[in-house]
Amino acid sequence: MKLPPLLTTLSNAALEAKLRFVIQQDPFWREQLAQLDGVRCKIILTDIGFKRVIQFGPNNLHLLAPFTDAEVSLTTRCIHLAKLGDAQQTQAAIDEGHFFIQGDSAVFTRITNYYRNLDIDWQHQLAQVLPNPLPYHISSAATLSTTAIKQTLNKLQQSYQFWVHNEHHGQ
Amino acid sequence: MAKIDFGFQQVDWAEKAQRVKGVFDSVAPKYDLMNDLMSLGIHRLWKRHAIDTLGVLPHHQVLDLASGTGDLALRIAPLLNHNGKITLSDINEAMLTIGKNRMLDAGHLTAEYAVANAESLPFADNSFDRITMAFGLRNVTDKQQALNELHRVLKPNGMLMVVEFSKVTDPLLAKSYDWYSFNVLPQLGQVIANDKDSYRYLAESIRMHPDQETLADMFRQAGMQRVSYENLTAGVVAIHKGWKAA
Repeated sequence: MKLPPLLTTLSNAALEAKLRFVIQQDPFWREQLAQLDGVRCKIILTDIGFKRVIQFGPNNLHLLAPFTDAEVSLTTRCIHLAKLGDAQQTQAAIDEGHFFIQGDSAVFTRITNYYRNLDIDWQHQLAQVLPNPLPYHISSAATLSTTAIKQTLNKLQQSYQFWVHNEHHGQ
Repeated sequence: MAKIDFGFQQVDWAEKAQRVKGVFDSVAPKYDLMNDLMSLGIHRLWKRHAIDTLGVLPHHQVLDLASGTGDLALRIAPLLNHNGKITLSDINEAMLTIGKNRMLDAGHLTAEYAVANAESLPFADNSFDRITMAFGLRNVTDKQQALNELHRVLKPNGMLMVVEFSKVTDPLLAKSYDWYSFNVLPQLGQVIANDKDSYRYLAESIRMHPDQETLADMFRQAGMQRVSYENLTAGVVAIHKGWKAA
């Protein structure tokens, strides 16, 4: 989908702000980001027609027009992006042709390492960003359920021990 | 003595620079606020779009001419590394001082600053990889001379980008834009900056500025190659780009 230039600029500004917000949740985000200072990576998502260059700076990242020179470019589809979080899945995606990488692959490795080293609670981030924080509720419900099950099991265990103890002494 | 336009008035060539200086001395303290009000904040998108498409690389030497309060420079500076450098230049010291303070506040300590007239720049030939000039060219007395100078200080393979108000391409929008410029804008200037005349000049100077094709021709006359322009908001603003031959 081709948007008018200023709408593209507006959506990029919003996306850039969100990305910055997310990476800054890592306690050591400055140190992490500094390792990529000046690196540029072109991201092409074929299924939604997204083409931008991400430039990493010492204090932030920037989204630029796609014709800006970049050391490496990654062409893929949205559905495969999650595979960047795991080295084996990334390699498999490359082997299967889901990731098409052009340029300096060492730079690509540096960027994926950066991504994997980010200490970010993604579920919490989603809950912050989404207007209806469904993931947060799911996560909370899961946590509550787990806690309730643990408590029930503990109680059962205590009751059992109590029963065994009493039975043992009763005999 | 030869005359030149100052808004809709005709003034002596020597007088225009002084009168433009007077306008910008007057509007400098409220310039950013007025820009937001006048453009409903859209000027931020125009500028961001310009920088996004500038193709600046981390090692580039960049000149931001007519830098004013530093809006463009503040967006370019984070894209440069220790090998790159940005120079902010403006004919108006009051505006440049605001730009310098904003750059320092943002932590950009290595930028350079020069109070200079675009018609005779104090820089060596072939100095810059990228030159930007946003909303400044229409205030220059001899625009062709300024473009010639910009070509001179541009490095081979370097790119000049001029962001400027231009000719609205949609007739309906053009009428409402005219009404807004000559009725609302000066009143806003009066209320916000207590300066109706300066804002009337800004509106008039936009109408006197060369249209898209004329400015593209002036680029070519200055020696620029691969000249192109992009209309934003139906031509309210146009971004002209030109490259210096290798």
